[in-house]
Amino acid sequence: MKHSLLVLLLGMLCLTGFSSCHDNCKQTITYRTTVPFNVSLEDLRKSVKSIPVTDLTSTGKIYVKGNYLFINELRKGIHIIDNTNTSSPVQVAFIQVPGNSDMAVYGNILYADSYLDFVAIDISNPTAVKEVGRVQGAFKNGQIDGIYWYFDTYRNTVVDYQWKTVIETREVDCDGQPNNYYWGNCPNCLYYDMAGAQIPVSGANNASLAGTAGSTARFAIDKNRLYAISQGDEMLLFNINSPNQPVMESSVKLGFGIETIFPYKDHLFVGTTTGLQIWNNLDPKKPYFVSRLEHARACDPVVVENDIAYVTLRSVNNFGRCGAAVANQLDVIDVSVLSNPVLKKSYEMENPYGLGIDKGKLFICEGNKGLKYFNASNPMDVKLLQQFKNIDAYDVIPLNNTLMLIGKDGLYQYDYSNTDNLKLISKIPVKSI
Amino acid sequence: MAMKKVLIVLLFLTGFHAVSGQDKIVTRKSRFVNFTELGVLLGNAYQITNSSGYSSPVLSKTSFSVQTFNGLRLIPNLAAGITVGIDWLGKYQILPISAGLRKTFGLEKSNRVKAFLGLDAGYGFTWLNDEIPWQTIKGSINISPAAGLMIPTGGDAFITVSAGYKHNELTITQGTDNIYGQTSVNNNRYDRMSIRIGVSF
Repeated sequence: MKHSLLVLLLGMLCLTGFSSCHDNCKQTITYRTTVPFNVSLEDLRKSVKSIPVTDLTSTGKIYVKGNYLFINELRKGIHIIDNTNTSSPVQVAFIQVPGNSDMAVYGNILYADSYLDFVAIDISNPTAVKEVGRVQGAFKNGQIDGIYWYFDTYRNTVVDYQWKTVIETREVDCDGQPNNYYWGNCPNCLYYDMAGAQIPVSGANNASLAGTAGSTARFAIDKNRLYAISQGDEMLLFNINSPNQPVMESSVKLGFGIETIFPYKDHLFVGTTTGLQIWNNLDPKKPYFVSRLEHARACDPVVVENDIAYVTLRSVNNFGRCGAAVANQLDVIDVSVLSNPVLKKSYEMENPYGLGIDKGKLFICEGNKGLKYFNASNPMDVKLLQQFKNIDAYDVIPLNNTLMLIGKDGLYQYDYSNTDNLKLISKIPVKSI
Repeated sequence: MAMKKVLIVLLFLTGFHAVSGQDKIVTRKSRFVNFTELGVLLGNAYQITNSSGYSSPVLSKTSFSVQTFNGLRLIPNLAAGITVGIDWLGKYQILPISAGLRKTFGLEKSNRVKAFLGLDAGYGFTWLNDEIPWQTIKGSINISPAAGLMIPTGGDAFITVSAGYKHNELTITQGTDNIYGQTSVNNNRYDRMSIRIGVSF
């Protein structure tokens, strides 16, 4: 009796056990992917208008013109901010410009890219802007926030993609290695990370009419020309003699990995992932190549002041177009002889994005390591004065003692009139979505 | 009422044999009880080979396992103690540390084959695994009931043969250092049939 009970128990255990003897391995992955959406040409070309102010959510570049501050909302448009009182900036309007990532202002005209088109917008009244000119099909393709869009000629629509975070659960092989996703390849670091800003303070021409851009800018205004870097590594020349009616004149092939452009002393400084190129634009409609300084592949916003170019190189460990840069550093380059730029000194940095300089005061965004304020009155001995660690900073514009900084969580403005001390004067928060 | 049932079951499991065979009991001197066993954990699994989730239906799995129970006899035929072992489950190793019970049937010292039941429950530690960068491996509960036979060797020791069930669990979290922040969390549950041989004294 006793033994038969035991045998029965044993048998049942084996049977029930065996029927459910099964490895069950579930993997939950969280990753970012892109979801396509279409924008028809018809919709695209009638959508430029002022709409009520909205929260900053996915910010790109910043641009300053007079008392107005322009903040790009990636692929949606441009926030206009009245910055007359820097301690209390006021959002005035939002200009809806689908597919926008770059902008420049000349007089009362705002130039912006809108996917394949180049648009001129009269912003005399920011709350009721008016499209005054459009160069259709100026850009063949492009990239915003790391995502390429293209124009589908058969369906006459722009095909763009948006980021989406996906969480998936599925049954997997228990011995499979958990996936380590390496998504994307930093096709354009500056776009991707919204890095960097600079102002060609001493090099700005038409200062009264043109505004001030950051080093991430792919648009630069000089001598009645707007130079725009296209995704095809070409420089497009728009004649803005008649500001309302920009005309595309020509294009110049620049080479590989072109990221930024800014004018300085009758020259255009072109930041690329492999180095710095200098082009002469004395004759604005026929810029020609002067020189280049190569460096290891990296993301490299550039600023220039008093014949010294400051270039930050940021190591990006995702093996993309920017390469696995070897170091995070600030390079100081003597450009007094524009045909022969010379690297003078390198300083170690942590995670440098954009930078800006004004009268020897150097500001470097260190991404999640914050903002660093340096005394660069002697470029061979750049000294750290102050560091703000609690902000995630991409992009700065120093202008008239006000430092405008765009970071992950908002637009910050600092007063830098005091040489040793930056003082926070205002903040517009970015709303996280 | 429920308590009463539990008491009856406990009585059945422990007292009944003791009472029925009272006159024959020869109690061993040592209260120390050891079961050391090695064996295999058997089961099957889906084998999913690529990211689209294609799976070949079933793959049989066999893993090696060792464990040792060390305990004290609380009452005749029932010992409680700690069980420590290692289960090699494919690419991961689990080191279970459990509270264990061993219930034997029949005479404590006998030259006849007798039966035993075992139950171990505890936590499976993952100290033996190497974590790759951005990875954490966490263990979880493990449960292992078994039933077996004890074959006398002539002395105090027995050779044991047992079959049972073993549940192990692991969670592997894989992050990444890139800016896109993808993570994957693998929750691995291993439900296996165990077959072990060993010694007991």
